[in-house]
Amino acid sequence: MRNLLFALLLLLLPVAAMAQETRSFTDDTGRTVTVPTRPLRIAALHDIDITIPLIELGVTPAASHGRVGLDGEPYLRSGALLTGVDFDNSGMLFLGANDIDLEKLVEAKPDLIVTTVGRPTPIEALERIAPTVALDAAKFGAPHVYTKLAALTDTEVRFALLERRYQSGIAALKQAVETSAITVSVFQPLNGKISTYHTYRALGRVLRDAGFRFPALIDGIEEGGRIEVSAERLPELDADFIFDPYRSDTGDTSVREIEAMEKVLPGFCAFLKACREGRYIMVSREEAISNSYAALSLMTAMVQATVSRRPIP
Amino acid sequence: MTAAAYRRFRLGPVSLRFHARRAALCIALTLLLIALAFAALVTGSGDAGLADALAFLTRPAETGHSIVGDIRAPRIAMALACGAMLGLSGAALQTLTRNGLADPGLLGVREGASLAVITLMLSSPSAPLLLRPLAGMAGGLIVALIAMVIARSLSRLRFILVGIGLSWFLSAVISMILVTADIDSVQAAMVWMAGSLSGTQPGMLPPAFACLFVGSSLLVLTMRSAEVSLLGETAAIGLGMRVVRFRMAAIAASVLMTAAAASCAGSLGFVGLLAPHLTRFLVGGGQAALLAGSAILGAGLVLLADTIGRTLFAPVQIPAGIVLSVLGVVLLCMLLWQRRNQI
Repeated sequence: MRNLLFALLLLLLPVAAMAQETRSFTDDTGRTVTVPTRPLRIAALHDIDITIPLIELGVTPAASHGRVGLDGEPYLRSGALLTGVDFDNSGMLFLGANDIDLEKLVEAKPDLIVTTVGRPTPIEALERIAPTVALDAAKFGAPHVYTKLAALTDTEVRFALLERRYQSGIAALKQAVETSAITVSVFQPLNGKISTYHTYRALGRVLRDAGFRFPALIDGIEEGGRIEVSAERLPELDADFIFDPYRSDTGDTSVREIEAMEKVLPGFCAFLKACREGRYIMVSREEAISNSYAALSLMTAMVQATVSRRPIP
Repeated sequence: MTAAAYRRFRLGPVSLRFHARRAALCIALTLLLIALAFAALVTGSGDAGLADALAFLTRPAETGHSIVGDIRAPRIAMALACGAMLGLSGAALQTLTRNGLADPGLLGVREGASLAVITLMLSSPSAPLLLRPLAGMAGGLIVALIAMVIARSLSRLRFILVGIGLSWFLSAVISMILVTADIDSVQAAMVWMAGSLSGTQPGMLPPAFACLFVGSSLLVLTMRSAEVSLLGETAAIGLGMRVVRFRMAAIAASVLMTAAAASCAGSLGFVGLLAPHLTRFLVGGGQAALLAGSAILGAGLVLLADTIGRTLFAPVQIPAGIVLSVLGVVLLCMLLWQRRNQI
């Protein structure tokens, strides 16, 4: 029995030693951080940009940023919808909404903190708790974030599988329709104006990767950027297909989104050929705005179903 | 008020004349503030409680890194410093302008500091946190200098009107930046603008307390002149007071402390307006009592707001500025009710 215990101890020692091993990692702010080779307790400080990608890579963070619903309960934006994982079924500690509760973060005992550039909680405060890596999802995009997270968590194999699945979906989409012959546009009403991105997260990435063409106004936006234009420029956003991501996490439906567009420009549909001809597509923002591979798959299928040739009555 | 109400404290060649009841009230308020600070030290979403707080206070060297020492204590110290600076600044500006509605936002200094910090946050999100107070103070001081150059004098009305104009202009610039910038990148700026102490770092405390020391010293040194200035400019000059020198000192102190508070904790409204009024209501008396009371009550208001904000809905953090606005309205209504026959 004693020999058996000794053998077990010998077996466990290298594992314990590996947990202690560290390496250097350069984050998106240019800081070189000493991080654990295999982090075991990660605190993710942005649900959409960090937590959900980590879950997709097979790593459930020990603690995460989230949102608070109207019922007062915390949730990961799009978490349950895209991954099935949320605070109530994962044991993840909720760290707060906009501003992180540093005391809760300390209690989570993270061995690595992953945040995004521009979050309200300063990196100086975080790196006093655990090694902190900052990723710039807005500037470098989701593929970059996944690459960095996979490198941090030693999950490159899983990442390669996700990427392969996505690329297969894009290939199928390109095979189904001649994407370069179709123009597309993605915008939404915001504060009485029209907001549009160069690449609208998952939906935008699918459209760009598949080779669709965009109006000059959207192509003119810098990569990773967003603009707001007045209703006067609405005709410049016309295309063969228009996608309008409506907010569903607050209980809203596409009806509210159409009402908001009517406030921006009464009778807006008359100014857009795509709308007049029934090609103004309402998409749930929860899936469209996510950076996850689950959302990319959903968006690929949705776009393929929408733009594929169908029988004319 | 009879002379019998005053006491004299003598220490060698130095003597201090003070009003016994007001001095007692100020001491009582200070003790309350200490109690509040201790309550804040033992309260939080983390497990750290009374034993940890006592260990930190009695054996700080032995406790090492802790929630109390590394997270709560710096935040409490910053709340006290910023609150005291805003209270003192409000008291000084109300005396200078002889207008009870004056507050630290009057000269555009707060907006100048905010604009500088927001520009830094948006243009260089990875810039060291310690640069924020420096940028904020530079921004606030530049705005004050611009107001002086445009007004060409420190004469009460013109200088203040220019300051109000600049304040509105800078508010518009800040709003324009926040509205036009990318929504992802302005989140941090929005939280900071709401008046948040969550980003406080120990390294930010020495410059904040240095500004508090310099600003409060200037106000204490010009306390008698401030008393005389309340009689009006003509009377003050007639009594031999150096009006310009006094104004320069009072404005410099207000600008320094407002800029320091705004750049360390963002926009904390109501404190500079309310603390002097609460002092007049609770303590009364002249400039000495006004300054002491405004500093203590200002510090207490910000500390209370920050403690409520970080604990009430934890782990969701409510910025102190938002809690202050709620507290401020309640306190203002109470003050108005108490003085309903004088207004």
